[in-house]
Amino acid sequence: MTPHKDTLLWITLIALGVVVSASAKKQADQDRTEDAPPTMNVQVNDAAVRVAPSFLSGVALTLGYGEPVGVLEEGEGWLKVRAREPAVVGWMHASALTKTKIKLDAGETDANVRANREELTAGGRGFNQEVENKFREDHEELESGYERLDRLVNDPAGGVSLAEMIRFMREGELKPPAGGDQ
Amino acid sequence: MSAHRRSKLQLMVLCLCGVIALTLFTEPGLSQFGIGIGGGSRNDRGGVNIDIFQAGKTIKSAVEAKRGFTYEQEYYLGRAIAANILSEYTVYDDPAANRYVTLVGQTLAAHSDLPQTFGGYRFILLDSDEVNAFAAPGGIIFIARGMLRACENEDQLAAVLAHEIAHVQDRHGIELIKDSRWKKFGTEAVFLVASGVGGGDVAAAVGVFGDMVKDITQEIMKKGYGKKLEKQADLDALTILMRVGYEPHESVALMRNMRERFVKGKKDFAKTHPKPKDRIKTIDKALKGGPDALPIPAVRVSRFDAALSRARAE
Repeated sequence: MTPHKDTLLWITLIALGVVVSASAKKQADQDRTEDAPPTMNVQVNDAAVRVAPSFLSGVALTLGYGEPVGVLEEGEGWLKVRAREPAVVGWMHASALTKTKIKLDAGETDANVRANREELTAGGRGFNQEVENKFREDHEELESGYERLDRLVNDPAGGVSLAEMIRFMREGELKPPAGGDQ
Repeated sequence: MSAHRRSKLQLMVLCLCGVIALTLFTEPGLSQFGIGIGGGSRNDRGGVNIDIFQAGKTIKSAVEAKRGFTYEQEYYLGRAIAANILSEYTVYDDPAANRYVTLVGQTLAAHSDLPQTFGGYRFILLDSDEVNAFAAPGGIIFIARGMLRACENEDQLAAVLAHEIAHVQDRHGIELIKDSRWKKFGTEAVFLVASGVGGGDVAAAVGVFGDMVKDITQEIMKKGYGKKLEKQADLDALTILMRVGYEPHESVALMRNMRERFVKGKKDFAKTHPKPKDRIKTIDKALKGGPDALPIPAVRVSRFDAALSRARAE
């Protein structure tokens, strides 16, 4: 074998080695993913984990913005999830969750995610309170509108309890949604 | 070159190609950089505005910025748009009417494809004779007394609210933002603020925020969402109504009532929505072949009359 041929052979062998190790790594990654349930994150405020996949079912737990959950099962529009430790298993509407990771500030760990909602909001990607505050400063003409809005959105009469909604539907001869009214 | 040597070389080339392909697909590699090509939809055209920042760690395009627009961003935009509406209109203060409209609205919202928003749904009555209703992104929904007067029963009120909820659910507000804003949103100065990474230019971010608010407010208050999105909202509203158990054919009756009440030259639904005749056509087509219209239970007329008697008085 000539030295030139020898070099070619070595290059081929090295390339093959890289291919094999890359495949092995890919397989290992896949195995890891299969072990743990896929994680999603809460993308709304006060997201309810319900005992059944229905908005008329009881609330087992309320999660804050950015909290992670493990997805165990997918139903129609609903996901069966495992949240927090000790784990609570329940159902969340798919629209309340995102696969996007909510970014944490430097030094923030999963353990104190729940403890610091405000930092989480600031760490999440989006226009934030700082932007709104500056916008309000620049637009004094909107201040009365903002003040009215804050009064309206903070008025508890703007929300509806589960019991009220069920009563309202029954009295109005309306039907409960899929999943039943447990 | 001999045939033997040539085949050896071919094998090597193949191996090297394999290594390159695997590196690209198994590692984050280039795909991590999110280099996307703009699509064909209205706001995706700005595609190739790529900025490198954070010491080259991340590259973001305007397209990605739109795709990644969070519910939190919609919440702050929606609040600013609602503040604009509340600066122009007076709120109608009637706790009984407000409670009733809230019950109908929240029940419908719970049955939509977006039952929860970042800040929650809110239903606000406006003391205005306009035959009008608005939805700010994120779920703040306004309905004017003039529109309440156009409704004859709970099912027709539900049809108005379901249409507005459909705009929120489908995130139509985002569609009204001009392409140029997405390009600015994708720039480093703004993205560093919006992403919470730190640094960046808050004033620039506030500028883009203000431009987006202006785009959406002008469109929803003066021009409307445009034929395509209005049609989608009409169809999605039917789905929401039927999920709750409201009679969807009442949407057609509502359109007829609205047509009679429109005043020429006034800024109301006539200006911001397709013609009732065309909307009736869309709804009729969607309901064709489905169950026939059923009479509305008396309770859905009586409780509507009781709660809204003062609000609907001329």
